Formats: sequence, structure tokens, C-alpha cells
Amino acid sequence: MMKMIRRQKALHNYYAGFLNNRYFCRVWILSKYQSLIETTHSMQRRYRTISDLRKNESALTIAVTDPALAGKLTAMGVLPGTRIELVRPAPFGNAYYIKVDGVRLALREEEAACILLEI
Amino acid sequence: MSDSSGKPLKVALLGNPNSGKSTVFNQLTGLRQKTGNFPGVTVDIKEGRLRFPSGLEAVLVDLPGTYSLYPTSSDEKIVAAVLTNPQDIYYPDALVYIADVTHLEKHMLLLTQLLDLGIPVLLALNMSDTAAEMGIKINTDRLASQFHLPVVSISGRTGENIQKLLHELEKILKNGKPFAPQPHTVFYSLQEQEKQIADAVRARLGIENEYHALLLAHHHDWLPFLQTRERDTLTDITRSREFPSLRAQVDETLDRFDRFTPIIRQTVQHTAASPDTPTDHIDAVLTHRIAGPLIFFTVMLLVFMAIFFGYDMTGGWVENATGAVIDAIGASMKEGWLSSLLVKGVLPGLQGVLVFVPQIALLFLLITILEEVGYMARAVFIFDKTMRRFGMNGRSIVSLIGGGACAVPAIMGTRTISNWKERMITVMVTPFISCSARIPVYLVLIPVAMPSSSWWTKALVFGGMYFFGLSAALGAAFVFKKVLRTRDPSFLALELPEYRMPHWKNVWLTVWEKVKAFIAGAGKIIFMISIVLWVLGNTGPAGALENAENKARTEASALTPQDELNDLIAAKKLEASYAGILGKSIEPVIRPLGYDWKIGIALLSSIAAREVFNGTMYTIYSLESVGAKEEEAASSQRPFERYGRLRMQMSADRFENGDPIYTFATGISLLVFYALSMQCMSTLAVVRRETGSWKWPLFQFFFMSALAYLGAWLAFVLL
Repeated sequence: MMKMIRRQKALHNYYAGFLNNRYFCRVWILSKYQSLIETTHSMQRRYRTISDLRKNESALTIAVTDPALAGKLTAMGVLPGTRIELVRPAPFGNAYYIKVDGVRLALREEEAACILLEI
Repeated sequence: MSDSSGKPLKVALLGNPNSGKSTVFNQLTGLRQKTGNFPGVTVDIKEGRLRFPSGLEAVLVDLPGTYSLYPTSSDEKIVAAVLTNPQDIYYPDALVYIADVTHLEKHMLLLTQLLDLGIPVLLALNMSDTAAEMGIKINTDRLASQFHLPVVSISGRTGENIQKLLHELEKILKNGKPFAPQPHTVFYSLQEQEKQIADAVRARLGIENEYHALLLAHHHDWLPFLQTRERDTLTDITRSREFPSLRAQVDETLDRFDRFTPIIRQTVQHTAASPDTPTDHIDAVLTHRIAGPLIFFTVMLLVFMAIFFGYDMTGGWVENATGAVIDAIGASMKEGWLSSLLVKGVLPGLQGVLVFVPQIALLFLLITILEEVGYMARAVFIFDKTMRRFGMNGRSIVSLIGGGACAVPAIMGTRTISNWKERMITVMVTPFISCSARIPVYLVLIPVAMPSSSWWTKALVFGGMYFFGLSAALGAAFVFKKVLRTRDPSFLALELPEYRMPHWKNVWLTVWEKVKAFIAGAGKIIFMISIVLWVLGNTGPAGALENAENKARTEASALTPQDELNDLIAAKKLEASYAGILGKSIEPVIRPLGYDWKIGIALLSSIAAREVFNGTMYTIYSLESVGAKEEEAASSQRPFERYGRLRMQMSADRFENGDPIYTFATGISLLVFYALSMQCMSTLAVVRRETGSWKWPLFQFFFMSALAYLGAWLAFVLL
């Protein structure tokens, strides 16, 4: 139940972002997968975020939507095309323990929401 | 040997966080290191001396760990600021880049940026022992030829190949600068627009290196060394071309990864797949939904008890030992102002510095072990949400809990919090937590406030004081979170390192360095304030003290025993001293809180440390000799039965109009005052050291005093 609400929230935030024109200008998607995302966008939602993953489930990264965060995450090794595994959510929620190429990272929910994953 | 300008050679150690950089630094320098402060920000920069076999000497600088030259925190900004400013005192002649072999791919990004900057680099592949265990093989020759730099496999933990590293480094230093970047060794070829911008910057600021110019364009709005004219020029260049800095940074990062990933894949061989490491199993428990927080609080309880009881044992021991020395010196000297200055001013000042040493050592021993093992990163992860509400970070919990024993080591422990705002908030609110120095004050005041209540009511109030302090800390943190502004964005994005055994050399060196820093930095201030307070309490206007003594002698009858006469003299002298005069002069200010001038004197002298309240009260009520006996007996008495004579005298005291001074309302008001006020010069001295200026400790002193005054007034009026 909680998960569904969270998903709804993330989804809502994402679409609200696109609808809001000012935000849309700021959203910028990592170059390589731009076309992929553009097509997937026109056909309903064809990506997931970390909050959609089950424990120990993994998925390929396609993009990071926030440019400021993209700089930090790419430098830490979260690149398009790498596999992200959700190890477990934080005990009090609002953060995720993930694994990328054998490196363990802790991300906040908002940070995780910027990483788009393949279905 | 020095370079042509006569400056000593500088070598900087650089790498990602968790690359084992500090271990290598400690291996290379040992005790020949000192900690400096990067100007303007309170980030430790460690410096050490390197001595090569041939006799060549150099200074080794340990720069903060970072993932790239595009920083997101104040620690990381230092690296970019140093490396883009050849005039910086830390600008290196050569770099030693430490990379963790077990995650080599992730550690190459920064290295390629450094290579493009044209500073000679030596690549040290750290953790070669772990790599061998994990079945990772590296073709170092290939790596060296592909990246055009010398490569050494080392182990910071075992010290393997450290000599070889020194040898290679010496070759680089002797050759001057062999790595002026050639077109074929540049890792990132600039995009069309970046090239235009870099060329413009090179032409107008006279910079040689292309990547250096590009970095200046990226960071022009915050680099501290730029002059206004240079900054304007750079703003002009980037604005006129609408340079999308953030986007360009990510593009560059991705390009670099594309360039070096194939090379790394060719040189690194994983002979065995090791999907499950012990870290996964440990984290399954330590970051577990229920077990995780429980284990954390158990660990914190142990930390608290270690400092709390450790202080009773060690601090008490230091206090007794130094006290005995002071008594011995006092006994051997003739009485007079010189011996008084020495025995009551200078030596207790020194003692006041030394009693903190065991606590600082103990807290840093525990914090460093937790940090070294890799547990602290998990604490940040677990409590990120909870602490972020109050503008703090998971590491702040350790300081808040440590503050329950003593705020001094707790505030020094905030250094590991890398976000400036989170660190400042933790520093600002930690003194609200009820520390052990408040206990004796509470134990006098609670029974005085409620003499007829049962012991468990008093115990409840005592516990309530802790709760009150914690609420004040969190409340203040919440306000600071709203008020403080910072340019650094708040990120969690934190690497959770593999668990490993602590490297004991790192632990001992950290403890040693912290104790040294405390004595040299805060110790001086504590010492000076104690002398000032001695002067206030032991001198007065000309002749006033002698008059006071004579008056005491005439008041006393011939039958008065010597002890009581001395006590009376001490009380009269204190009243006549500058401290007494000050205490009396602030009476109108504290009268609304229900206090008299005696409390005024006690409040002023408590600025030295809160527990001085008791000592001053004993002296004012002519009980100095009784005080010593009662303090000694206290440890064998039940908490609310201690300090009996003092409490009796206080309760019996009246204002001129015959009203009792110590009513329930006055007692509670005083309790509130002591819970909230900043009466601890040692804490102020440490805050001064940790924040790098007097601005913060003064602000803290005034806002906490104002809050204490307001709280005490409210308590007195409402009750």
C-alpha cells in the first residue's frame, strides 16, 4: 500500500514536472539515451525508478534527470547503462541502499527519483 | 633540495573518498605531520615531511578526498581551488594519486582530470593485498603506458611497496615536469564551445593549460583566489557564450568514462567472481529495519558510558593528580599574591585544560574506530531522514550523545560532518545537551527548589532536565535550519565502504592529533580566560580586599575557630573583589528572575565552568572549608542528600525585606538558566577553534544567554 502511494507520488511529481513549463526547461536528460526517452515518453511511462524496484531487484540505468545531481552521480559511477540493484530501503524510509558495479551507495528518495531505470 | 625559487618541494596526496588515502599518508609521514586549516574554511589539511633515501626532502599535503574536480561540498571545493591556483601555498610540484584497485574503474575519473591539468602524477594502486585475495590481477605496465605515468602497486595497510613509491616519486621530482600534456596524452578533447571559451580564458588571463582555463570558466563564481577583475572577465566570457556549465560537466564526465573504461577493462583481470562479500552479510543486520537502529543506539549507549564513566575514572584521576601537585606547590611557597596567582590562577588553568584530555582521547578513539570500520556511513544512511528534519546529519547523533558527557570533545567530533550547514548546526546546539558539569549544580538546586518532595519527584525533575536540554537542542536546530543559508546543495549520495578492521596506526594518530590540537588551540584560550577570572575574583579596588579582611576579623569573636574565620574572610574578600562588585551591579538585571547578588556572583564565575557554581556558593556563604569536605563526601552519599550545609544556608537566606530567596520558582528558574546558558569557556574555546573565528562562539554565547534569561524569567513569572 505504502509503496503504491509512493509510486503515485513519484509519478505525479514527474509528470507535474513536465507539465510545468519552467521546470521542463530545466529537466535535461543525459544525452546518449535522449531519443530512447523521447520515444518512451510518447508511449506512456516506459521507465521505472528505484522506488519501483523490489528488494534485491536490479535494473539498467537509462538517465539521470537532474543536471546538478547528474554531475555528482556520474562522478560516483552511476552512469547510463550501469546496473543498479536495490539492496534495501532505509529503516525509517526516505533513503535507499543501492549497489552499482559492486559499489554501495546511499541515496535519498528525491535523489533516487532522478534516476530513470529500464523496465 | 628546493626548486629554483627556494620554496620547498610540495607533493599532494589525492584520491576518491575511501581510497585509503589517509592510511597511505600516515605510512609515509608517521608522527612527522601536523594539521593546518585551509584559509577561510575549517577543513583539516594535513601536512607531513617526506624524506627520500637520497636526502631530498619535500612537504606532503593530504588534500580532501573527492570524486572529481566539479565539487559539491566545501571539502571538495578545496581540491579544485588548490589545483587551479598555481600561487596557492598548497599547489603541488607533483601528485600522488591513490586509487582503490578493487574498484579501479570508479577511481580513474579524477586521475584523468589531473593528467589533463598537466601536473606530474604518480599512480599508486592501493589495497593490492585485498586485490590479490579477491583474485584481481592488474597489468601495471600496460596501465602505465596507456596513461603515460608511473604506476606502483602498494598496500597502505601492510606498508608494502611504500619504499618503491618513494623511489618513483623522487624520480618525478628530480626530473622536473616531464608530463607537460602532449596532444596525444590529453584525455578529454574539448567540445567546440568549450574550446572557444578555454581559448578566450587563456588569451585574457594568460593561462597556458587548456583544461585549467576550462575549469576556471566552470568555477569562476566561487573560486576564492580570483580577483574582481578576473572574475568579471570570466563572467563576461561565459555569459556571452551562454555556457551551460552543469551540462558540460556531465558530458565531460561521460566522455572521460568512455575513454578510460576500455583501457581499464583490458588491464584488470578478475580471476574469481566474488558476488557475496562479508559486507553484505553484516549490512543485512546493521542496516536492518529494526535491528539497525537498535544496534546503533546500543553502540551509542556504550560510547556515552565510556566517556561518562571514563571521565569519572580518568578525569577524576587527572584532577586528583594535578590537584595534589598544585597543593604541594602551594604548600612550598610563601603566601602572597604571587603564590595565589600561581596556585589559584595559573595552575588551575592548566589543570582545567588537562582534565579534558582523557575525554577527548576516549571519544576520538571510539569515533575513529567507528569511522575506520565503515560504520559511520551506515549511521548517516539510517538517520538521514530523522536528522535532516533538524538540519543535521547522522554523524551529528554521535556529537549530541557525546555532549551528554561533555560538549568539548563532542564539538571537536563534528569535523567529520562534511556539509558546512549541518556541521554548524551541530556545533551550535550540542551545548544545550545536559553535560556532566551540570549534574552537581542540579543536585544542589533541585532539593533547594523542592525541599519537601519525595526523592522520586526530585529524580523525575532531574531526568526532566535531560529531556529539557535535548528539546532545547532540537528546537534550536530546527530554527537554525530555517535561518542558516548555504550555497552547498544538500546531498546524501554517500558511498558505503566495505567493512574492514580499523588500521590502528590511523586511530592512534587521529587521537594524538586531536589531543594536540585541543591543547594548542583551545587550551591557550581556556588558560587565558581562567587567569582573567582569577584576577576578577582575587583583586579589587585599592584597599578593598584589606578592608574586607579587617571587617571580617572584627566581626568574628575571639572564640571563632580559625577555619570559620578563614571562611568568613574568603567570603568578604570575594564580595569586595571585582567579581563581587560585578555580581552586585548586575543584581537589577537578574532581580526579575528572583536572584540576588550572591547568585549574580555565582553566575559570573560559572562562565569558567558550570560546576564552579557550587564552589562559589560555598565561598559566599562562608563555607569554603566545609565545601571541601562535602565535595569529598558526595560520592558516598545519595544524590539528593549531597552538599547538605550549603543547601541549608541557601534555603535559610532571605532578601532584605525578609522574603526567602530560594523559593520553588527561584529554584526552577535557576535550573532553567543552567540548562540553557552557555557557561563554559572551554566549549567557547573549542567552538572558536572549530569554526575558525570568534563570530560563532560569541553569537552562541549571546543567543544561549538570552534564551536562558528569557526561559528563567518565564519560569519565575509563571511559577
